[in-house]
Amino acid sequence: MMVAFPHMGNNWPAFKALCECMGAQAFLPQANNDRQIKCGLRESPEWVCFPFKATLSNLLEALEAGTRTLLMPTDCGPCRFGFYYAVQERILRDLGYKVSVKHLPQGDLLTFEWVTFLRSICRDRRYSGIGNIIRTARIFLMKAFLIKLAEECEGMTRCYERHHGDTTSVLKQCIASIDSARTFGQLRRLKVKIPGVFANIKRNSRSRQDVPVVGMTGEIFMTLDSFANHDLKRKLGEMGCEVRMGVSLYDWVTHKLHINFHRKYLEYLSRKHKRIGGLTMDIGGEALWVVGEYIDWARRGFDGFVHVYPFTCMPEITAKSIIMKWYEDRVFDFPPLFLGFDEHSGETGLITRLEAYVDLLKMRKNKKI
Amino acid sequence: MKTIGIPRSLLYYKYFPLWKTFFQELGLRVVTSDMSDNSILENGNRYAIDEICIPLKLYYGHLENLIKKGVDYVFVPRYVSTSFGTYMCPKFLALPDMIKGTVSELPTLIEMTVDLRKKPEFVSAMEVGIKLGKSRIHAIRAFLQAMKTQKRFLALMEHGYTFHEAVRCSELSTSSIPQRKEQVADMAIAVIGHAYNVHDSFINMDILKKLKELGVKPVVLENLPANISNGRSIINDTLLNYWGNEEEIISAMNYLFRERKIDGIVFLCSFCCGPDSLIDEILTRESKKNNVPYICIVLDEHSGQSGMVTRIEAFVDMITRKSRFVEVT
Repeated sequence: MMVAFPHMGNNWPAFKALCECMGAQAFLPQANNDRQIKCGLRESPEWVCFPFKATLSNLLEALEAGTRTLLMPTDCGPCRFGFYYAVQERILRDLGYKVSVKHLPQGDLLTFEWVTFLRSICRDRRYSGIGNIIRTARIFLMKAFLIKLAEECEGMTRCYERHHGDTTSVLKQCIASIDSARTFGQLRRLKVKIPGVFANIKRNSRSRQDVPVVGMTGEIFMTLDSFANHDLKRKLGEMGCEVRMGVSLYDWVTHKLHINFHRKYLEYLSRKHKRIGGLTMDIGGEALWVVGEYIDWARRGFDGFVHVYPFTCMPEITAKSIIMKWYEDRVFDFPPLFLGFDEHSGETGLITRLEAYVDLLKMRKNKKI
Repeated sequence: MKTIGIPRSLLYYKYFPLWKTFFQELGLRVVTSDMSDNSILENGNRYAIDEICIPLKLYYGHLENLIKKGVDYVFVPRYVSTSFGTYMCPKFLALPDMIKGTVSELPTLIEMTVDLRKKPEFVSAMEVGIKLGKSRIHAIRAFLQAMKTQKRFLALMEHGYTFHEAVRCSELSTSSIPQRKEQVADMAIAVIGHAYNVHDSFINMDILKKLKELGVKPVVLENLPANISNGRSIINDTLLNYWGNEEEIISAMNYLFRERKIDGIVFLCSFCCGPDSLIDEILTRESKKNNVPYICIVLDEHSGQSGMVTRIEAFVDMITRKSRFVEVT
């Protein structure tokens, strides 16, 4: 059986493994690109958030290629994400496709609804045993962890590379080897290998003292998908910033399994500041943790904070208005940059803003202002 | 006597009689901000970020208006959930946090967290009473009285009163509902949307009055029978709607499609409204399926009226022609 799932940045090997371990064949849509996004835009509501449009175009592409089983994660929180699969299914059906979008409930992974979901992917008895399901989940988690590791190394190395493009090609190789790894042994070896490959990239003369450290966080899809955010991470790296990521698939999944203590710490930080407007409850998206992350990174002495979110995102806008005011009042001396993206494809405006921001960070770093 | 300010925006248009009676019974004087106008919006824009929806921008403006009036407390509720298994929009969930984070020099903020998934509403009211230094019994008694007024207000709305008439009438001590002169019109159009968009005549450029001038009888959500909603609406076979605010809209629409007493539907939504962006998509498709004329009007700070007037006129004309066409054939 052929199964298709939408892209979210470099995380496709993990989802592919999920399908393959359950004995289904995975259909991989092309990486998001301009031409393909247009199909999704045509069918989407006008001011829905961008991830809806991007994932819809992936599903459309899969349908045109003949795949009839579509996967879409879903949540039951207060934000729009929970409605995605239902509205997408409606749109696809009205277009004449007789499909049902299979949804992966991930509101709380400890309810183990995902086990039923995994079993529904493949009806073959050989794969639906509990042993295989545990193995699938472990492989998924390990791959997600390795992807997170590779992306972290990428952000920390790019500004030091001597030859332009080295880091990007190393990252590509890493993702490919994560994809091709089949056994736990191979995956464990990769865990050691990945930091090594990035360390072997030839370095330039920049010293660590001059390089500003930028934390990048926000809504998970927009932060991780390099098409959606116009390759923001690469741009920041090439302008000479060390980039630390605040979100990743691994981070999200462990949070949903209630074992992500870093996120619990961020929640605590945000609640601690409730007198001045720190969020006190999860309002969907990544808002609560973005506010926590802002406080955390400000304390740890990072130089910049980039908040990425889709235009009209309700939770992230709430987080934005709080952080913006904090910076204006100098509660924390930590300059944020807010980037809301939609299907807008002109990059010049973005580049100008980034250059100005990075210049500011560098000047602050050298104590010129 | 201490004063408490209630901003005339957002959930004011749904729960004002409840809040007013509750605080009056607790021995406070209730002050509301002025009616929305341009200066309030401008003041709101100074605090709110540009991407936020217009009702929230107005909320900031109303809050500033109250601060200028010199009230002792401001009431900023946090409505998390108004029925089991639902949520409000994320901005309502974080409203007090957002206000505390963005407005400086606030008077004492009175928060009321209403979360029916966790605790009944009277417990929230009791907590507010304790915060104000009253006894629990006093608070619960005040809340019961407030519930009575709210019930009366809803009954009045159901009998076809407009929001402002109903608020005024609900304060009278008589329990019977006075008869109201019905507007005679050959066409009825439902104006559906969030209460703060439909009843705030500044945001929607007084669409209800404009419809009346065109000889149309506008019907708002609250005018429909109260029992149309039965649990959460079905979006598809596996998903039930989980937005409290949208629940009313979807069930009202389903009722209208079923009953067919209405000639057309105007859906009002504010620009950038997250839930409405998807609900509008569903409703457009549903109304096409049910063959009911439907128009979605998006509201923002835009102050030119002619665009909206043209659209409404065209919509009404289209319905008139449609009915004539049906008669002929």
